[in-house]
Formats: sequence, C-alpha cells, structure tokens
Amino acid sequence: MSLVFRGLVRLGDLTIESDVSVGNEVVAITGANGIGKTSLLKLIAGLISLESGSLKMDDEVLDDPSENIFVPAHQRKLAMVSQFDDILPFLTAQDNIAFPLRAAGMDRATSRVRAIEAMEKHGIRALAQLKPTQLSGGQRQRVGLVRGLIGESKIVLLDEPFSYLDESARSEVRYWLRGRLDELPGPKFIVTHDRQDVEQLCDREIALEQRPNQHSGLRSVATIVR
Amino acid sequence: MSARERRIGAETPRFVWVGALLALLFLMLPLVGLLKRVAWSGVLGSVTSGPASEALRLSLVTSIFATVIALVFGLPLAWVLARVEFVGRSILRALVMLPMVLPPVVGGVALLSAYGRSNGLVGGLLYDMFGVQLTFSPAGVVIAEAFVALPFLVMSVESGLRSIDPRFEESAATMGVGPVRRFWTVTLRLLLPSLVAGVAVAWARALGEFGATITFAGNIEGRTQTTPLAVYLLLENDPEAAYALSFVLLAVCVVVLVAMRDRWLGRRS
Repeated sequence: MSLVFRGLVRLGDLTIESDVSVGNEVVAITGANGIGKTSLLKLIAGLISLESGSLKMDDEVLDDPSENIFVPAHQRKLAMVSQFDDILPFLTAQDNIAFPLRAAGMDRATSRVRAIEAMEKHGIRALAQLKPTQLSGGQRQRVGLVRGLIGESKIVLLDEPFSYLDESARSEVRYWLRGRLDELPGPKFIVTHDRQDVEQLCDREIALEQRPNQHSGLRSVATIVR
Repeated sequence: MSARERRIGAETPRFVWVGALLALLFLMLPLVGLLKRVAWSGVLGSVTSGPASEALRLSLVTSIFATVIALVFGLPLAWVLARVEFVGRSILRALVMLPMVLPPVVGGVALLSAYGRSNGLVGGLLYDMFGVQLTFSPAGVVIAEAFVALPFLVMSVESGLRSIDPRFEESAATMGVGPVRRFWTVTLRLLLPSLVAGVAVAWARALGEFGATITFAGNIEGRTQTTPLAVYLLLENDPEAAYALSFVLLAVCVVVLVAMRDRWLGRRS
C-alpha cells in the first residue's frame, strides 16, 4: 500500500506544499511549531481539502480538486489520534474506546468486551468506568491512543501522541505503540518533537521546512529527509 | 485563609447600592403583593373548577404542542444559522429573532394577515383545500404560541451549536462515523444542555402568551381561552380565581427558572 501526496493548500498566511510518497512504513513528521504539521495530517485525513494537486492511496484518489474528487474523512478508513483532548465527555473511558467499533457496526456487547481487552493490553483497565473529567491529561491521552488504534484502518495518523505523558510513561507507551503499529497495514504518520520517537518508532522522516516565498506569508514545504 | 483582594472596581459606591436595592424592591414588590392576595385555602378549588380549569387544561395542551413545533422546526433552523455560511445570514438571523421583540399583538395581526380565513395570504387556500380554519380554533392558539416561542428556542440552540468545539465531531469523522450518525451520537448529545434550556424557555413563553393569541385565535371559553386570557377576564368577576391562576403560572415559571439556574443565572462549572 502506498500513499502519494503531491499538492498545495493555503491556510491564511500559511502555504503548505507536499511532494511525498509513503509505503508500508512509519514516517515521522517533524518541524518547528506552527509550520503546518497538524494541517498536513488533516489534509491526509480529509478534515481539510487540497487547493491543487492530488492525494492518492494506491489506485484510489482521495482528494483531487481538478477532478472534483473528495473522499470525506469518515470514508477514508483512518486510525487518527489528535493532539487535542477529544475524548467524548459524556462517555466512560470504556465506551469511548468502544465508540469507533460501534460506528463500524459492531454490536454493543461485543464492542465493550473488545474495548476492555484493548484497555487490559495497554494497562489501563482500571480506568474503564471513569468519565473523562475523572481522568488526568495523561490518562485521557492513553484512552485516546487505545481508541484511535482499536479498529481496522488503512492509514494511521498520530499527532504528538505522547505530549501529556511523563518520561517513564512515554517509554512504556512507545513500546506498546511499536507493537500496535506492526499489526496495522498501510502508511503511518507520527507528528513529534521527540528525537527518541523518531529513532525508536519511525522508519523515515518527513521534515516541514520554511522556504522563501515570492508573496507575503509563510511557505512550508514537506520533503523527505531520510 | 485567603488574603482579601482589593480589586479596583470592587469598591462599590453608596449610590450603586441604593439603585440596586430600589431595582430589587421594584421587581419583588408585585410578587409579594400577588402572594399576599392569593386565598390559599381556595387555590385548589379555584383552579380545578369552571373556566379556570378549562383554561389551564387548554394552556397545557396548546403550549406543549407549540413547544414541539418550535423544537421540530427550530432545531434545523438553528443548525442552518449556526453552521451554514451564506450571503445575508445575519439579516436572516435578525428576521428570525424579530418575534422576540415584536409587540405580541402585532404578531397576532401579522398571523391574521397570513392565515386568516377570509383575507389571509394562505388562510383561504387552507380552508378551501383542506377545510382547515386556524382562527378562533385551538390550532390557532398553538400557531400563535409557536410563533412567539420559536425564536427563543432557535436562539438558545444556535448559541449552543456555536459553542461546541469542532474537534469532537472531527474526531468522530476520522473514526468512520458518517454525518447522520455523528449528529445523533455526538452533536445532539453535546447540545443537550442548550436544547433543554431552549425547550424550557420556549415552553414558558408559549404558556404565558397573551397578545398574539387573543388577536389571532380569539377568546372563546373552553376553546381558545388560555390561562393568561382567563386571568385577565376573571380579575373583574372572580378575582380570587384570577389570583389563584396567576399563582399557578408564577409557580411554573419559578420551577423552570430553578431547573435552568445553572445556565441562566451564570452558575457554570
């Protein structure tokens, strides 16, 4: 499986350009704050659409404005974890993790069992019945990771998945994530600032860099550095 | 032990205290007067017999229907106003909110000019094609109440929709949840507090409707005479019943207000 992403989008002052091709591998996305790493993930997810160029997964075009093709996010078979706290506030941790399984058509009982199993594997079974307001930032991030990676997916998108974890938790969760990523097919992207993440989790690295722009504003270009 | 803060702006001049107390007195005195005039031993008897009980029953039924109409049509309208971008949206929003500030009797006149049987815009058509006459009928009461209540629901729900952080719906989308299911399982659930508040205020407004109702639906005992109309008429012939009914309306409003206190009295966690 491979993802080919050649395109451009302008978001306010920021222009993001990309020319990358990613296969069955884990790719780090690095670069300074505000350079457009999250936007790059959102483009792949279908939460933002391209202005020109195209995004393809194997033979399927996901986004191509010249052809008027745009596959919405919910049809892209994603496993995505946002850098922001987006655990549904009205569901317990367990029901949050079961939520994507329910959306995929699994019945309630089975999805809840699967959610508990996944929490057990990650070592957060004790949190099952707690509501998000009863969890710490780090615990919510763990719930978000387990939820994001529980289903079947074609593309994995992780946006600073360890930002709320302390150093010891980070290496533990990194180990878990390495195992989970090996089980999933397709291209996988991780936005991170942490060199350890890049070295221990990722096969390649895409760096967003600022290039001089003939117009005003910032022009960020995504290029493969290794 | 906490240190006492001395914030600039927190020192209250004496004349502010005087003004605030006078305002409070102005608001509370009529309520105290009303409570004092209620003949407590006869309240139950007054509101469960004759025109008073008829009016209460009619008010209950029509205000519930009006609230359901406001909900079923107000929710989609609020959605469009909050989430669809189009030219003239702010003008449309102002038009939708107009019944909130319009004198209710003008609203009643406007309703007559639209749904009146003899010379309304569509009233004649409704009668000729379906045999439906809204004026001087309980259905007309529902229409008048829904007309004034709907903007209250739209306002509450629209601001609720605007305050929902898009990240919850975005992450649901990335989890494979399509737009319809997303609405029912995420958006509506996050919207619930605003929706409940909107329904409560719309219902209270429908229950208290007077001007539009009497103008459009008339004042027929047992048919279009709602509780506020009955209070106004009873005040001359049977003041005891009028005070008893007023007390019932007051009590209902207090209950709604207490239930909504977290949203409306600014006590948010």
